[in-house]
Amino acid sequence: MGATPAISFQLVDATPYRLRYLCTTFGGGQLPVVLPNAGQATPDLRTDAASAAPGSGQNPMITVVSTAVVNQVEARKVLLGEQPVPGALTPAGARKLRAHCQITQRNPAAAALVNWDVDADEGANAGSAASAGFPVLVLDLSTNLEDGVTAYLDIFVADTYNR
Amino acid sequence: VAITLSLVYTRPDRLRYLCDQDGVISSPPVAADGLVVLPNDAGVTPDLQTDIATAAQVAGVSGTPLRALIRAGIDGFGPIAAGGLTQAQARALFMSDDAAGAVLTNKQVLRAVCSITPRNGAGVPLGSIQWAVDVNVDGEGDPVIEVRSSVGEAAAAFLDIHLRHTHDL
Repeated sequence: MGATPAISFQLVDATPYRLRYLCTTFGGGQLPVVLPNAGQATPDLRTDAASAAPGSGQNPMITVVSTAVVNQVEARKVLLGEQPVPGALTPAGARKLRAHCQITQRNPAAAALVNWDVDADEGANAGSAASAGFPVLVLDLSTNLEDGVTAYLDIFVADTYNR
Repeated sequence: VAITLSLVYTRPDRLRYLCDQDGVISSPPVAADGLVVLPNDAGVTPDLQTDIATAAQVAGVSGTPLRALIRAGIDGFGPIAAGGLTQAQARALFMSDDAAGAVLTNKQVLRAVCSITPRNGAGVPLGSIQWAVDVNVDGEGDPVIEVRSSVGEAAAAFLDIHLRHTHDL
């Protein structure tokens, strides 16, 4: 059994276009922390995308997080919208749905505010064997000394009306 | 005041404020060095009710959906009765923070998101000043926005209060 992760995720909003997680620190825990994509219990990108109450008959978030990837470059393309050569064709075609991610710090409690980083990787490469072949998110902190520092992690489907 | 808020952009579905941290640490330090509350009292700007009225006036409309959220404690909103909000209700409305639909069981109820984007501070190393935003309620149960920053350096950031569109639900 590994060390306790330094960040816990709680799904607080799910729509076909957005997943919002409340991220809470556990001081001294293990960093970085992976938000998996294995179709298992929440928090899990595929499971949580499927939980969205649909505003329409479509759920593009499921399409995005179910995209197979083989490495970090592809994972970043899918979940962070990072295209090393803008407009370049990808092996799977250029007009695939993409996501963007954003961190908004909420309440530092008594703690000092810290830097939060969000990155994407291929599941197994990030240490989540159950997520192998799918993109996962990897969160890190500049310092992690206190419990209860909070931030929101948003995952948006890019190019939707609201984002 | 260590953080001052200035309304810099209005749309019927968005309020944008410039947040200026003056970098001064009181002696002894006080919480207000790194905290400012955007009120909801229909007072002078910056004030949520006043500023959303300005947004409606600028846009030439009589009311806005974001105004209904701002006045949720007074008028009620969707499944929330009038008479003052809890912080959980305020977070559900303004931060889209509603785990398992505990507050807004109807997912079609409009809600907003607050975000904060660091701008710059002359001579300030990037990342040396951190910003945070949260939602709470005042003594009357009206939603208010809390902006926090680390202290010790002058810095600026944009606070956005953005109504999410029905299309995005």
